[in-house]
Amino acid sequence: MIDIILQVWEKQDLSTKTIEHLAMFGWALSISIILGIGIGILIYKKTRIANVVFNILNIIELIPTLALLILFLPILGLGASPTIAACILYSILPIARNTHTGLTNINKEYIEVAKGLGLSSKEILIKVRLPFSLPLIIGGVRIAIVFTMGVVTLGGLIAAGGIGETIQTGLQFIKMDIIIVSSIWVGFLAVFFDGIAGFIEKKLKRRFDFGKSI
Amino acid sequence: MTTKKLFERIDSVSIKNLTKKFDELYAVNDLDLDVIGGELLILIGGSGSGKTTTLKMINRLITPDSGSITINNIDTKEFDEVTLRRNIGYVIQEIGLFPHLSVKDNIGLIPKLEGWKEEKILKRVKYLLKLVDLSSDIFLNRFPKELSGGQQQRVGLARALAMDPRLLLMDEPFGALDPILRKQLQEEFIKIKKDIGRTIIFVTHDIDEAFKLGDRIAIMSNGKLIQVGTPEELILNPKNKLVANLVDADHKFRHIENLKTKDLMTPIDKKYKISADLTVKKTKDEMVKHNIELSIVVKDGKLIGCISLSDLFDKKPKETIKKLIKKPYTFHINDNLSESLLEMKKQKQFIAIIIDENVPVGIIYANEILLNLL
Repeated sequence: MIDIILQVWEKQDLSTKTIEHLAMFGWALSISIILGIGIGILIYKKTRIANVVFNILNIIELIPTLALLILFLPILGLGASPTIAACILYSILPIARNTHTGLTNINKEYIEVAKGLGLSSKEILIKVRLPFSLPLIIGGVRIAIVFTMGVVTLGGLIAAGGIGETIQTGLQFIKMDIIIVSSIWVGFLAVFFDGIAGFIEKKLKRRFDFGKSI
Repeated sequence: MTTKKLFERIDSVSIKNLTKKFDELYAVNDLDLDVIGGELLILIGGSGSGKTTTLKMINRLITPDSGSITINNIDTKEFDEVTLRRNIGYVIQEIGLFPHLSVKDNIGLIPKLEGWKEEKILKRVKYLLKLVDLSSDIFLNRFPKELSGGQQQRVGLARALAMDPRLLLMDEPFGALDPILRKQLQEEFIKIKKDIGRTIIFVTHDIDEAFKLGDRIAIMSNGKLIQVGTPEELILNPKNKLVANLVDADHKFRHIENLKTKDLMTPIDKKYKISADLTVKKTKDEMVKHNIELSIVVKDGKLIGCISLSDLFDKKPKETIKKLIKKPYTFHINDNLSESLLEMKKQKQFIAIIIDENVPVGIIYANEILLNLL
């Protein structure tokens, strides 16, 4: 059993593939978090713009992943870039939406106290709204982690490298050992990162979740 | 960013024609009210009377529809909102502290935003914790949820004082506490109030709290100011039934009928008693030394009479005081208080000695307020 795993691991160079995979995953997730939180912050005060933005993001969310990857072909070609781009497009929505919800659904009394003490809107955002939103934001990131792991794996179809490519190889040659080992491995990675995010979420909730009035 | 101090001291807070409507309802309706610098003014009224709305218009949390609020004759609209609020302490009931910040960070929040150095913040926080009677060692790094309601209110007060504001707005700060704790915090607050000597506007619905803490009390109803005055003024001259009921004027009046002179008398301290054999000079020296205006002359413990300091001037120093002794107004300790006071009023006497078997035991000072009650 372990022999088979080691054999597949070495032959398919899964170490390198994993690094490729995680590099794409890392880039995609980092950019998604920055953009997602950024968009959430930019639109939290502008309800109408928020509605438009979320409608657009919702529509993007509805496009099947494969279709989205192919849509990128003429612009970004094959490989890692369209894969990362697709990951980001999918991941912005949960992060931005949760950020927005977190920032806007704070118990109004806290905002009023902050104002009363003499905090400016910007200071209230940084000192009160954002800390209170952290559990929800990390909740959004958790969803994004699952999306990103899936899309990066699918990137194997368009020569993005990573573990998805190994699975492709296995499928092409109908090699069950390759398929199973690489699939389980990518599944494990997904569960692992979700677990880390879940752990952080729990910690943050304990620290920052205070009777939100949603 | 360093916010400048808008006022070194408060001379006046003047509210003129202040009006605020929520939908079609007047929350505050053409309110005129002057707060005197250094006083603690109570805003009292039932829910919906407009007291909290008024308070929030002072630090501009709520924008008035019309009218103005001036501090030291400067319209508050002319200040930057944030600057204004950093110059005004604000304490509210219940949800006051930020749950994600420690006690230290709650109190030091504004100083930190003001760019104070860490040590200066820590020093200030420790000083304020001491002021509100909390131990820095225990509470500095605690979070609000680890504190009792009373402790949270103390931290809230400390936070409001962080920037050393000259004006303090307090919105039912003790409202959420149980009665015993409330009494205790009120007592402490009276002490703190003396220490800090600030102008305070204090919202409450509890008349006992108002009487206990307020220099003056402003009674509001339906967005209007009904009457403002010292507790005595409100009891003596309630403008209408509402005020009378609120201050329970009738009840206080009735109460006096059941009292005896001993209930109101001030026990006589040894220093008030002097012997009839003393000379004028010696008596005068004694009275000046003890800083008293009136002495009670006794012989073998029994009352002979009394003598006031003013009677001793331009008298020969060597003379004994015997000839100067006056017959005081006296009542027995079990005499009815209101009858005694009525008698004093009739005779235009403001001081009476209370005796028990001819031994002077107390003094009654009948000030005008007391006499007017009858």
